[in-house]
Formats: sequence, C-alpha cells, structure tokens
Amino acid sequence: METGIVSLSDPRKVVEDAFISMVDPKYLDRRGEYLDRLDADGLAFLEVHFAGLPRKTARDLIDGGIVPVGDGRVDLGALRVCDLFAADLLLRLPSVDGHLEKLYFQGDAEERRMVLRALPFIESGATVCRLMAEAHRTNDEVIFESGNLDSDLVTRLLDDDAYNRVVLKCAFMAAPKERLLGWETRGNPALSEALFDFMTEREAAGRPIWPDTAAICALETSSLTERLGREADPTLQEALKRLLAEIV
Amino acid sequence: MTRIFEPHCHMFSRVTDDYLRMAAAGVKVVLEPAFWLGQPRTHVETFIDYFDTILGWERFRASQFGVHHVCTMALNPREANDDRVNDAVLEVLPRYLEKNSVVGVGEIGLDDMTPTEERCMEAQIQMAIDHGLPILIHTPHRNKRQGFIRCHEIVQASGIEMDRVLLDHGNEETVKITRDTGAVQGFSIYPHTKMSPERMVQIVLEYGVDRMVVNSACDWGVSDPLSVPKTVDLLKAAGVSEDDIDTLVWKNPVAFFGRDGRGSEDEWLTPPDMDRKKLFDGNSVLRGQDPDGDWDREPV
Ligand SMILES: [Zn+2]
Repeated sequence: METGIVSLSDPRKVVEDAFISMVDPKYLDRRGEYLDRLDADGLAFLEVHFAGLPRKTARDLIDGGIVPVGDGRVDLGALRVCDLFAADLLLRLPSVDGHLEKLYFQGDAEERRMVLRALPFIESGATVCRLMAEAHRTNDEVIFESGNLDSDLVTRLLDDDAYNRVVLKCAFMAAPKERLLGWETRGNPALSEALFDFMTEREAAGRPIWPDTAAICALETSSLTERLGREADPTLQEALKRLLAEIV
Repeated sequence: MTRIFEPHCHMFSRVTDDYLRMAAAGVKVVLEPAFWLGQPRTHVETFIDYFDTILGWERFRASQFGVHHVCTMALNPREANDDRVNDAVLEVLPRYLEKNSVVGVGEIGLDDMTPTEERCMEAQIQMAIDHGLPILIHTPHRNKRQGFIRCHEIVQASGIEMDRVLLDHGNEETVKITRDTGAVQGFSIYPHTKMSPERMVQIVLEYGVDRMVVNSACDWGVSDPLSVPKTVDLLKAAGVSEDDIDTLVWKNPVAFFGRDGRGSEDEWLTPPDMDRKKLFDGNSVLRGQDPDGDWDREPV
C-alpha cells in the first residue's frame, strides 16, 4: 500500500540514516560509486564485486545501537561498514528471491557474513529462514552469529523447535541472551527442560554453565516442576530444586 | 629466524606435517596458485569446487598451523587445452578475482604452446588488468627457452605493466632474458634436479636479489615444501647478507602480491587466529587431539 509516508523503520531509511549518522563520511563517495555501478550493470555487477566490499570499504564495526527495522529490530552495532554497504546494495535489487541464496552459496566466509547481516533488512520470509537455517547448520560461530543473533529474526520467525535449537547453540557458545532480541517473549516447556539437561550435563563434566539458564527457564517453568515430581535421580532432583529456587 | 613468504605451493596436495614444518622454519604466508590436479577435470563445476576449497577449507587449515594462506586464481595452461572446460572456467573467473584472499591471476602461461593456450592466456591477462591484479606465469618445462620467450611476447603485447608480471620456474638461461624486461623472476627449487638450492645460491651470487623470488612449487609430485628455508640456510652459509635474504624471501613477494588492500606486510606479520576449537563449516583438522595441547611441537 502506497501511503506516501516513509515509516521510520522502513529498511531503506534505516540504512540511509545509518550511513549519515554512524559511518565515517569518507565512505560516502564510495557508496555513490557502488550505487552507480549497480544501476548500470545490475545483478551482474553485484555477483562479481560483492566479494570485494570488505576490502574496498571497511571491516570496522559501525557505531550504532538497536533500532526498529520493518516489523522487527536489529542491533546496528553488530554490523561492519561493509555489512551496511551490502545491505544497501541488496535492498536495491527489484527482488532478492534466488539472488540472495546465489550470493550466499557462491560466497566465501566474508560474503556469507555480509548476506546474513543483511537479513533483518530483507522482507522475504522464506529466503531469510532458509539462510538462517543454513547459518545454523554450518557450526561456524561467526556464520551462526551473523545469521541468528543481534536482531529479532529468530524470535519472530522461527517455530519452537528451531528457536530452541538456536537458544541451545547460544548456551553452548556462551553467547548472552540479550543478543537474541525478544528472548523474553519466547519461553516454552521443551526449551526449559533442554536447558536444564544441558546445565546438568555441564555440571557433571565440571564445565561452566550458561549464566542465562535461569532467566530463560523462568519464562516457562511447568516442565521443570512437572519433572521434579517424577525425577528419580537424587542428583538431578537436587539440581532441579536449585534451578527452580534461583528462578523464584 | 628469517621470515618467509612462500610464493608458490599447492598445499591442497600436502599434509598437516608440511604446515607444521613450514611454520617452524619461518614460513608466515603460503601462496597457492590454482593449478591442475594431475589428471583432467571434465566439468566446470569441479573447478568451482576446487576454487572454493582453496579459498575456504585450505585457508582455514593453514591458519590452524599459524600460516596465512592466499591464492591466485586461473585456468591453468594444461587444462586450457581442454575444450570441455576451458571457456566455462574463463566465464566464472571474474567473480573469483574479486575475493579478498585472491592476490593474483595464475598460474597462467603455456604448456604445449598451442593457439588455444595462447588465447586463454591472453584472456586471463586482460582479466588481471581489469581487476588490478598481478599475474603469475607458468613457463613450459619442456623447450624452456623458446616457451619463455613466447610467454614474454604475449605479456608485452597485452600492455600489462611489467612490474605486475612474475615469470616462474626460471633458471640461469631465463634469468638473462628476464633481467631486461622489468618482470619478476621466480625460481622453483626441486629436490634431485638441476634447479637445486646450491644452484640458486650461485644465481643470487651472480645476479643479486632484485626482482627475484624463490619457491618450492610443492604439489603432489616429488617436491619439498622446505626448499625455500633450505635455500635460505645455504645463502647464509655463502655469506649473502641477512638484508638481501629478507628481500628475496619476504620483501619481494610481499610487495608483488600485497597490493590494493589484498593483504599487507602488517597483516601477514600478525599471526592468524589459531584457535583449534574453531570449526570451518563444522569441520576441524583435529582427529581427537587436545585443541590446547602441545602435540604440535613435533611433526608425526
Ligand atoms: Zn605450480
């Protein structure tokens, strides 16, 4: 629907504002060059020159914070200058369908990171979810983080099963819950129980437990209290009591 | 210890012990030129997977042993003759030439000196010009002198700046031609051949180190990934100055390949992230070893 009013969270506007207020002005000429060449040669230009963005712009993090974008939120402070350039260029394609995946799968680690960091700006649910799942599958921390953390894509788009696997990976990597924007809205019984199992596994191995375990389990305690009623193993029963006490 | 930029080694075909030994001998950077695999590939897709491997997994593998990995991309002269793949490979190359760890176009050049080889070589020199990259030229092992002269003619006709040209696999004969051209001369030191470390010392004593680099060209054949450090030891014993040796095995290749933000001396002197708990696409170099252990002190 064309209203003539540009919303503050319009992805293009968010990127534009970030360029103006958060990026060193010395990069603005370069931005102009890229946009001109994209206009002239379209996707063919992007397929060849996307790889060079980190080298030709910068790998420094931009100086930003959490802002609304489209229907969600993104932490701009997690983006590098080249990630913002990538988002800017990708948003100018008439449609990202097919192209985004092509750029991702043809890309090296840095290109993949840029494609993933652009996902919160892209309004194409199916493609975004496929690439988030792909980033999860790789078991590469930087790739996983780029696709799944520092925005609310995970809390907005994933079903419980997929969401729980992302939270468990955060627990495994010791990534703080705050990097999953909207974490406080997404507790579920299976997640609490899985986090409890992970905690006791870590305790048995004498390894550090995820500091956010209690905070996430507090969102949904039914499975834990139910388990307390039927848990026969005294060590696990003790651990359940400790966790529930921490929550209250 | 002398710092070394090894400007020609096919690590794809080597084992982890080679990385351990090279790192221990002072090798900070390895350059992997795209080449052929010992038998012909029959689909462009196998080239694509190979290119992605030397940009991805091989680079990660090197980093796990404290070595930086860069590469040059090309359709090699041998497979340039194969009409099943040559044009399709040329078509995908431009997007590889913009990757950040690609520091040149190579190995290009001549093998049998056929018209098709020459056409592919010319097309790839033009790509190097378009993408602002230097070129690494494989000169024929058979009929060396004539092949060398023909490579040089093609290069000159292309208009590429001569300080962006490395003519590799040289010897005493070719060095006489290269000195006058402005190109860099590469020498590949192979064990049990005429181009031995001892012979390289004689060349340095006679011609100096200006516009020269040495490499092992190690691959799946009889070759020695330590031939550069071994040459360094002999150069020291022959009284060549530390400064000249540093120019030969570090400054020259760093200046030749480290251009336009594609790597730099500072970057290459800072060791890569060696954290062995990290994975590449879920894969690790470890086979049950302790990621923090000191098992890597000695090769197996
Ligand atoms: Zn070679």
